[in-house]
Amino acid sequence: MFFRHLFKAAAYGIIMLVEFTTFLVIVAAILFGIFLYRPEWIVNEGNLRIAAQYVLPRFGVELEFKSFAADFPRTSLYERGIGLTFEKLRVKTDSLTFIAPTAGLALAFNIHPEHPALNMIGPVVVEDGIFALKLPPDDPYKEDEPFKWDDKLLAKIRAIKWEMVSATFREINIEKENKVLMRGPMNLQVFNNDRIWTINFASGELLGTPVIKSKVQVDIRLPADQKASFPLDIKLNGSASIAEQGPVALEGTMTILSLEDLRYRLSGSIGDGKEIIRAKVNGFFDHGRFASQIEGRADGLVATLPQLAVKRCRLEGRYSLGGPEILDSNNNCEVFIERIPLPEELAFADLSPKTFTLKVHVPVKLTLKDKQTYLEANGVKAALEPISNDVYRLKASVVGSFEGFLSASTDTIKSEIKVDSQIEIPEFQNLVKRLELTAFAIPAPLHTLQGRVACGTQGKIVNLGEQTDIPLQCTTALKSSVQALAMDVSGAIQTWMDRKPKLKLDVLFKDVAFELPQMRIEDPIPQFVPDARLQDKLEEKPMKKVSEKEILPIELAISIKTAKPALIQTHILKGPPVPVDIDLNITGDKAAVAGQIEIKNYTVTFLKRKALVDHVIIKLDPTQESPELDGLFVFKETDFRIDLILKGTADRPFYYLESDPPRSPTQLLSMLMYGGEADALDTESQRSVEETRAAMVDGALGLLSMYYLASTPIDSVGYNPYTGVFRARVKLAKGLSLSVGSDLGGAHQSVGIQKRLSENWSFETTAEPDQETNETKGVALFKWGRRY
Amino acid sequence: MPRVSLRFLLSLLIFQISSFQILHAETLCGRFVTPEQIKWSNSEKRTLCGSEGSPSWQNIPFNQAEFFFRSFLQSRGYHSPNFEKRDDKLFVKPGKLTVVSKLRTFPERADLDLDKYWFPIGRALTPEELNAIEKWFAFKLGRLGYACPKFSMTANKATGEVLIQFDTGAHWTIDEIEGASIPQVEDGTLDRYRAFAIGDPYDPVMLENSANRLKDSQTVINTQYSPECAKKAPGYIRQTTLPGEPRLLSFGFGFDSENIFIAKGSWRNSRLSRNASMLEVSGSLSYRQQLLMTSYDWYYLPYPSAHYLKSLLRAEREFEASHETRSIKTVLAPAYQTDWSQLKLDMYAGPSLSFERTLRGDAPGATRLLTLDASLNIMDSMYEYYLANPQTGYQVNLFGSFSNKSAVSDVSLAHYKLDFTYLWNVLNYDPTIWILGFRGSFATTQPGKGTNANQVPASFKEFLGGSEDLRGFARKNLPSEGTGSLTKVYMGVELRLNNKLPFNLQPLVFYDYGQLGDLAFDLNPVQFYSPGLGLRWASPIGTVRVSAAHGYVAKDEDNQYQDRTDMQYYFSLGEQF
Repeated sequence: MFFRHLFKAAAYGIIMLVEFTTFLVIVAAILFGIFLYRPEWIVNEGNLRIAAQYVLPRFGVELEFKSFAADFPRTSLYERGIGLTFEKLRVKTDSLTFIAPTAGLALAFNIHPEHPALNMIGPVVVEDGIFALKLPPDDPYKEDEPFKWDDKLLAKIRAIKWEMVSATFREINIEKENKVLMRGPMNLQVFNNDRIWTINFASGELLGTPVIKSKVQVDIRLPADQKASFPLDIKLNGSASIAEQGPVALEGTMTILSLEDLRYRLSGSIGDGKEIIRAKVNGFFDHGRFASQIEGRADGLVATLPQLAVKRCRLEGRYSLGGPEILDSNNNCEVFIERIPLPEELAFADLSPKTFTLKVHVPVKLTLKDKQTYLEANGVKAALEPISNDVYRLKASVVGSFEGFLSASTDTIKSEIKVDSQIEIPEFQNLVKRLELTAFAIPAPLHTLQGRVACGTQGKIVNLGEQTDIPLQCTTALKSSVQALAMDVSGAIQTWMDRKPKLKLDVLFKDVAFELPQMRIEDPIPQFVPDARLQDKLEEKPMKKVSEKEILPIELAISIKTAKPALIQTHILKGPPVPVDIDLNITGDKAAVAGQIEIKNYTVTFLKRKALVDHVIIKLDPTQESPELDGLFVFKETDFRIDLILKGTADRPFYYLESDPPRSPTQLLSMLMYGGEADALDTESQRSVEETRAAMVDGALGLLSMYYLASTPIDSVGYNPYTGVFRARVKLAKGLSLSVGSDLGGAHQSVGIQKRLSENWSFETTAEPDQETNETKGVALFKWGRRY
Repeated sequence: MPRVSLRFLLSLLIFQISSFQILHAETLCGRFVTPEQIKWSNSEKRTLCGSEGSPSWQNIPFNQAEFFFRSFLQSRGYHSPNFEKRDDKLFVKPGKLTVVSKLRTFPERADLDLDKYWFPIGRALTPEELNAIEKWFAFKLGRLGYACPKFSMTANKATGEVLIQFDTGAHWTIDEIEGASIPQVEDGTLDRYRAFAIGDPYDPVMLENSANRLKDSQTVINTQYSPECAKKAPGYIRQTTLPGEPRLLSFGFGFDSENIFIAKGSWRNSRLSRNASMLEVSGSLSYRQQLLMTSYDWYYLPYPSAHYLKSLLRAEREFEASHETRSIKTVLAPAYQTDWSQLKLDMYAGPSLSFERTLRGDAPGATRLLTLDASLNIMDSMYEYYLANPQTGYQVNLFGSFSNKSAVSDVSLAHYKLDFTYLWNVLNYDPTIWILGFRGSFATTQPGKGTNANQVPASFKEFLGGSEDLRGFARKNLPSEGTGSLTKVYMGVELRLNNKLPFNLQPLVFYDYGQLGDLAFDLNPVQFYSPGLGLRWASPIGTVRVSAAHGYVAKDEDNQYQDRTDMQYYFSLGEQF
């Protein structure tokens, strides 16, 4: 019983379903029929309003309009069309807003059940519209798929006939994650005229993009055969105004014979006025071959380079997008560089090249290896066109090779670049004459030298600067009537990524002879260099210690040596030039100077006698504040020999006297200074000897003061041990004396002032105390005195 | 017509101005045009122009010449010169002279008294000036006890501000003096001349005073104390001495406006024993005074000491307007010299025997005196240091001589004498600007029991007048009668301007006042005063002083002195104050 009722219910259900389905089919048929023959019954303003009010909101769509009209033209049973016109249309969804005072759309389609198709789109008209789109945020887990042309879709799109599109938007706003990607007014007109499609696009300022204004016209000539896709002739003419770049213009033509055969001729410019880049490119891609001719010029892009131009640049080779050999090209370019000379160069602008031409040859191969693009560029060359003028000749070239995966960081690209350059000055005097009136004039006494100077570099840079080793060489062969400068300098600049660059130089003076200005002993020594104490700005800082030297950004390894002693003609020390040997090393990033400067085996008139400078060595030690001195002057007479030993430092030189046969230092000094035994000297001379000895022992007698004393007969000497000041009067001629050294101080004078008149006579003023009352009384006397 | 004339006048004016400028410029070797007021040394000219003997330095490039000119001008205080190349010549304009405007130190130290060091301010900012400031600074730090400071100096070329950055180094006390032995003299003997003691703070003034004392004693020719900064620990001083021969024979002659002509001779042995005792025989001859003296300072202790026995024998003839005397005196007195609290003390006390005879004047014909003499001299260290150029400090002399008729003497006398000099560096500038000096003398002789005033010998009588006291009166011209007074009081004040005028000229203005008394410790009502002007010149050969003053007398009811009031001019050489 139960099953029977159940069976009956089921039967009734099936019947109901069939009937309902039949009803639906009938209704659908009726609707279809109505849609076919009376679409205006379905698609009309009233129904659309009802749908907008009750149906569309359920799908999150807001639709508002003032008026709506639909038109349904038909040319046959299956060929139908629809034209929609809205007035004051507003469509809004969560992500999209479209507002247009006037909008219209027309479509034509084929409703044949076997081959339904969209036949025509357009006209599409939007006037003064507003379009806003919020793009969804990127899915971080979604993998980008490579773009692939959908051929079927392409075919279907090609089959559609496009009528006019005229869309003017007051504002198009595209946002993504609350960030404006693009916002601004835009116009688009697309229309065709006898197989020529013209697309006009114009926009105002598009916020979110650098575009301030744009206007583009593209004319596309379609193939005569409507079914064919190619050839396409495209003519492009556009201009835009880009923020920071200025106006951009582009025009050109492109002929696409097939997807693998493309020819183009393009020209464009960015910027205007003084800062502008212009380029012209023409070439082709033809079934795996390509060639491009590029001419370009950048004016005013870099302040000091008014013109950068690429001329006669030809890129050509083979390509294959599918790999494995993606690109194999041979590229030759001429790069022209015009630079603005620095203000300092204006004085010798003719020497300073303003234009450089580089011939560049770049063979490039790109291959697909392990799904990555691999670069090989061997034999990359850049050669500077030699520059030659009256003064110098310059040439330089660079040859490099690069290899590595492009898709990884550039650090993985291995490179080796060889640098070769040379500058030669065939005649030094030409350079002297040319620079004479400039700020770079060759100073005296070098400016009288004649001869050749040549410098060059030959080296390599590895891995784009990861390591650089550029050797340098310089040679001079200069001479004048009394001077010479022949030296060889060889070295290298080395750089690494992980440590300071290093400058290695070996300077060898092969032949050096210089002449100092002729000065008179009786004149005070002029101040040749500015006193470092006088500065433009005062700075308070704690006293610097030796160890607190400035650290340089470069490590130094410089050695300076003389192959034979350099000869210095002083014109004060009578006789031959002073021979000076140098052996110095400058190392480290604190430019620590170590080594020695030596004078040896030199005969000189010293302290009125012929003396042999056995040696004077100035030792430089970076750990010491002042250079150390070591010297020996030998005075050899028939019956005795006196050694004047120099020790101490340059700040405080100490002198000692020894003799054979042995005598006291005082005796020796009195013989040297006054030519006689100390006992035979008057009091003043004895005092002078003793004060000189004290100053010598104290280190207060500087090298220069000693030099002056040694060169002239000494009248008298004064020494203040508290200020370390040494003063001497040297006799220049009869009745003429000169004070050398510093004054003993203005405020304090000796009580007993004694002015020596002759060996025993002097004028003396003293304060004598009374023997009884101790009252002091001043007395001035011409006095003769003798000690015994 | 007027227009042409105006143009002509303008052209003429411009031409004259140009010519005027050209005339005031100097052209060196036809290439460098420099202002005439800057004098270039021969070495500078040869550096710029070269010479026949150094062809490599002829025609040096202009930019190198400019470099040299900048250095040369810097040495003269011009730090912002301008150069113009025109018509193959380099025109040099030295620009503004920069003067030292301010001194400051880093770190700051109040005890440096930098604001008192006025001398460099306003002077041209040159390297030489910086050297002088460095020397002053080194000396100043030395006076604070820092013997070996390190400092560096910088100066702003535009503003003239000088900054001294320094590290004082260790504060020194004098721990050890090392010096070579003097021949024939016990080691340590000459330490008696030291103005300092071991353990005292380092002070270059004390060291200099010590060296000067030793030199002045003629015991050695020269000596110096040098702090050993580099080699040894702080506190180590090295003394270098030139002993010379011990015997000195000298003769001399000189002059001044009081004595007219002076001749002197002496023989001295300053190292007579291992304790450096001194024997001197000397004589001097002048219009006013003839003197022959033998003195012997005997350091009698067997070890180095400042105690000695002072003995002297003196024969003297004095020839003054008011009197003429002859005398012989011998002194034998223990003496002692020491230093205490930056004062030098010289003292002795002992008997002396003298015979005095008055040949002319209102004084006893012959007098024999056995006196007990005592003397104390106190001298401030700064007075001693600036003895040749007095500017600060003080000195006081006290002398007393006592005799009694019952003890060999013909008369009983008590003679007291006080002299002092006090110099005040007004406002304590360094170096001094205004020096206010006070000097004074008080002396009185009190006749003892049984002795009348007219029995007092001339050597115990007092006078006023002369360059030593009242400069408006002639030498020893007061009193007007007799052979002197028993009491005198003298006070003088002098204001001197120092270090401000060129050629070391020091003008001065003074006022002397004095009174005499016929009785001991009693002054007569007559007052003597003499304002005046003078000039002191620290010449290369010694101090020259000239003064012009007019003497005045007040309360001279008897008109005793009206004939003595006149302008007086004095000239001296060697007299310091």
